[in-house]
Amino acid sequence: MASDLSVIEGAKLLMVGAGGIGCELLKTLALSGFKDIHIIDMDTIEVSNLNRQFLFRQSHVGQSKAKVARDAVVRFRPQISITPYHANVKDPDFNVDFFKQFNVVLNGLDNLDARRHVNRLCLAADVPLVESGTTGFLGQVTVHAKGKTECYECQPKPSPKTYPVCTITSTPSKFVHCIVWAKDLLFAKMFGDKNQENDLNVRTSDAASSSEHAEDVFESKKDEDIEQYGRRIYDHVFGYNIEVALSNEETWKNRNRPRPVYVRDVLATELIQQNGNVDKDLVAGDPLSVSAMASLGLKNPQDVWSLMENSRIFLEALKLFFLKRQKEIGNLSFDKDDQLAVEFVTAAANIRAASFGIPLHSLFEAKGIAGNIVHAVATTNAIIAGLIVIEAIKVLRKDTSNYRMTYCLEHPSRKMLLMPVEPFEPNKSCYVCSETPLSLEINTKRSKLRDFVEKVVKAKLGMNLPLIMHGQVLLYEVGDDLDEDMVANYEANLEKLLSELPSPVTGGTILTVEDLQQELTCNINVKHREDFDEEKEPDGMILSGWTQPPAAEKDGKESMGNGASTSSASQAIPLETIGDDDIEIVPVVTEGVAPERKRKLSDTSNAVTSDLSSVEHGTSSKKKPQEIDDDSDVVMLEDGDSGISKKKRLR
Amino acid sequence: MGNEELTEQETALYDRQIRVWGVDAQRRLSKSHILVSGLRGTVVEFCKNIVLAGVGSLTLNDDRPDAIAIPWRSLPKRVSKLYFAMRVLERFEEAEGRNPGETSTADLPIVLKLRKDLCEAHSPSEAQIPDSLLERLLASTTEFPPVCAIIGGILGQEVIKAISGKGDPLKNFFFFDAVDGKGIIEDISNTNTHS
Repeated sequence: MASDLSVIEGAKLLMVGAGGIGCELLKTLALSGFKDIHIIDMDTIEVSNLNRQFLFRQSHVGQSKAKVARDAVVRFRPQISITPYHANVKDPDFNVDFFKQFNVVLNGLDNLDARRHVNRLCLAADVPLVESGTTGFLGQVTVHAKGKTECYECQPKPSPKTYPVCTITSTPSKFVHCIVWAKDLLFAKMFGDKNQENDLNVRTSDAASSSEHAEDVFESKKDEDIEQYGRRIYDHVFGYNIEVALSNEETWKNRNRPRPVYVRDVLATELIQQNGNVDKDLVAGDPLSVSAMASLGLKNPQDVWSLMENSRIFLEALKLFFLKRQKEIGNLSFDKDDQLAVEFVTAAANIRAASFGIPLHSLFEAKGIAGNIVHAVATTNAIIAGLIVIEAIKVLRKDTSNYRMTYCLEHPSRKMLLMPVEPFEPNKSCYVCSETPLSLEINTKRSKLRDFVEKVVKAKLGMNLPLIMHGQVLLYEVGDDLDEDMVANYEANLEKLLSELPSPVTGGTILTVEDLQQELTCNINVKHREDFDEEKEPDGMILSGWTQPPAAEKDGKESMGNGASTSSASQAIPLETIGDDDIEIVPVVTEGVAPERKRKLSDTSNAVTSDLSSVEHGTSSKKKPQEIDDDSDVVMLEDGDSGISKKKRLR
Repeated sequence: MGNEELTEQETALYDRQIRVWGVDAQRRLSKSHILVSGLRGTVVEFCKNIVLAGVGSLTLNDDRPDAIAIPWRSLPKRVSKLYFAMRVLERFEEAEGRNPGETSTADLPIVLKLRKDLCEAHSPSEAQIPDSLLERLLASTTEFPPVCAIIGGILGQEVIKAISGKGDPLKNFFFFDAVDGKGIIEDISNTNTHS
């Protein structure tokens, strides 16, 4: 349409993310005639991106996604202006003034944290935001315009799954628990920072010794070669630790008891001596190509190995780390693209699983779980990108009444594979866009300021660079331009109990928490409470006045996550919110008055009749026959050309 | 022919989609050969998608595509307005000897007459198929890239399903209208199981 072209050509867009959705989106925007696009992405290109991030080639691996994407598009649209930023969108440079220069912001992100941050900046700058996400064949596109629709945080999003610590350390029941143990406890203890606190039981004790004499099993003994060390570690974590756990009868009253596993039970003696072919099959030099699988001739990552094979991999991987990657030990963190690390974690998780009667998994599966890998295909991203551009054009034309949230389904629902829904009005109790005051129950005599900052301000409220004030007194802030005295003062404050701060925080206090970059201010009413249930309220503080995200496995204890918050956040919105009968498909009103945004009705019997069901269930159209019948997209046909007088539409 | 198994390189490259449809499906894709006819926007999008999926080969043919029409009598009793309107247009193109898409808003008067005839024959009232809808279909003869991306994506998925043998094909006609944002599947197959 002619009017479209002028808004398109004059528009200045910001894209956040140049990955799966980003590549498809940049291409579609360019082909649609957009001329001025800025794009932010902090990542570099990896091989596994190339199945769908089609602007990139093998030769680009390691380079900046934003820059390579730009170069690729300029080749087929030389006149287009694309400004790439190889940077983190949370960087203070991308402040409200930066966001204000754009007509619309388009997100193609893969984590909740960044999405929340961009949401706040868009609200602060009053720039509409088009959000999106895909996982496999599912996807969605949503539009957020300040004051007119919900913001991205009006409906709470599920935070990444966490597991109670005791489940991980003592009572795993699922394979993922074993993975978290292998990755965040065992791997971290053996190859990561030795000074880091770790819940793994590392001490042996005999009846007589006190804690000062207990030794750290992970320290290698004098005259112990690497093979002996490996076997000793194996016996300790899979054998001894299980025996110790078994000695606590209470734990196993209603649970299946695990069985301890020792090297001698699993590997025949000859095999113990000659575990792998370290020298034969290795590629010289490159540490990342060192592989236990290669060394042992286990070639297929899709195979589920036996307990024996897993044990051999475990010992071989351990050996290879110490022999070939000695320098890195003490500094390593788990990386899903580190083959040897994945092998080690897979094997360790599987042995533990075998111990607890949990089914074993292949390396391919284990890697997906440990690495929080999101499965992804090009086609879904292409579809979502098309939908994003359609919404972006509506935003540029200020066509508010036509904004839609669109869901891409794997299987059609009521004949629809792409399902548009009208956006909802802003949530009046959303603390992000509606400035609702919050309440915090906390023991002000036992909690430190640090606990408040970490658990409430950063984790729950998602603030990046917070500022905490009690009245006129600044209790805490973060920033580059602070002088040393102030920094020292804040550090000291962090360690103080709330009631002992320079400006004491007690019941009835109101704290003001701000993030200047996000332009978000929250007022929190503090209520003192003496006791908290250790199981149900492990944080020792309750924040309310704000709808909690549904965190699945929380049975109360102190939690452990499974790595970065990537997977759940990049997924499509859980479909329980848009089940078959709950959808409110509002027909386009013909009178030209913008329909009022409705709160979603939970009782569908009162809902506006859906377009398709008005025919199915025979509810009348309410309109007179001569008017354009827009209540339904469907018409009834009568057979043949016999010219029989028309029948009435089905009532 | 080469090895039955995927190479290590392919396994690494296709890791993320193997996690969607499995290794066997990926193997079948790698042995498939695709012929594409008619290179317009949607088809080009499709080509990108099918190459990314990892097919064995792709052959391009730029011929005119044939319109596939089924007789009116075999249409199901209940169809979307948009589909009905599209068939009115198709009838018009046929009658006037036009190529598909070779229309303009100047054709509206004749199309409206055709609508009258067809509605009388098949029962929907003319009021149900608005003038504006027909006008829009007559005028939009150029491609809209976002819609190409959407249709090319759906098409890509269908072909991948067909080759890999995984997943039910959509049954059997998909269309998308950017004005209302709905992507609808119509069953216009010959089996008359509709009530």
